Amino acid sequence: MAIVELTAEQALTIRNQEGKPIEVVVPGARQRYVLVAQDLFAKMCLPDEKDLPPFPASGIPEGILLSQRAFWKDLPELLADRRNHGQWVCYHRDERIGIAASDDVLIRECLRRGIPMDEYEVAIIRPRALPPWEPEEIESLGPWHFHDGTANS
Amino acid sequence: MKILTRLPYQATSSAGSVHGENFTVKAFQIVARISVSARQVLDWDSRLPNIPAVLDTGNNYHFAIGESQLTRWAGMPLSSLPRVGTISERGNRIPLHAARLWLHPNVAHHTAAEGSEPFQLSIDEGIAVYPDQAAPRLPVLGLRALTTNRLQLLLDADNRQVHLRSPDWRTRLVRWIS
Repeated sequence: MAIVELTAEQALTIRNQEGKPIEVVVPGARQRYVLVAQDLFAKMCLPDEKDLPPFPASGIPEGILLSQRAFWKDLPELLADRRNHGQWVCYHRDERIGIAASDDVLIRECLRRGIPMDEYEVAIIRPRALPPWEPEEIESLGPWHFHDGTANS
Repeated sequence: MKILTRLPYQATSSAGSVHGENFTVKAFQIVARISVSARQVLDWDSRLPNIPAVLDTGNNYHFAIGESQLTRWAGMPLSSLPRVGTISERGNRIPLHAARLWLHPNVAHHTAAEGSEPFQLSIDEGIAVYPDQAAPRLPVLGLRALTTNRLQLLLDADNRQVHLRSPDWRTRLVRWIS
């Protein structure tokens, strides 16, 4: 990207606009330009959430993944109320089905509404280091779980 | 509620079989009986087969099972358990599938299932289904499943027995006394 240094007068005009976009007119050119702050430009370059691939390589069905995203987005708010800790919560895509002491009640509600099994997520409300779709590193199964003491036999 | 009552484990290896397939229980392995169902099965279905699972408190996940063990032993086609995540084990990605586990009470002093209605284990992160070439010899019930379901495990080393129960007024009393 080319860099153009503005005159002191132009710089003062930008400062007075306090980050608002400024229309730039190039004498003799028909094309109009808009000057925006760098952080705003970076945001404008980000793809819209709806344009993100809904089905990443994880192989999680889209309905479950969207439900997990809704849960992950709400988790800080859910954790803010200590009464929620250890409770179960269920999402169907963006919709929170409910909060209950066990998953039975929530799944029964999903069944009552006819929500397919690959369209909802039930999770326990507790602090989590990773979103549900991110792989957690797990301790390897011990060698005693395999035939001759190795995982490759 | 009592789930495992004086469940014995042996100081020597022993043999067992599931659907005609033989397996070995190694010395000092605790084996419980488990059934696997789809997550949305909320009432016990007595047609579900029960299969052996090693209770391993050193395992930091809920439940691990091989793909063939799931289909041939537990009678669950993988297609009926939607994918809900992934774990990473030594760089290998293992898929997690939504499921419900049923832990069978044993006949006291024996490893056999008692025949009463099993205890429902809710698994919020899914069960790990290993490809056959990386699967454990027997399914593994890990510490996270016991913790998620708030169970109390007691090991009686002198008698080589295990007790497992869900918390009730007695466990609260014991906790208060100690």
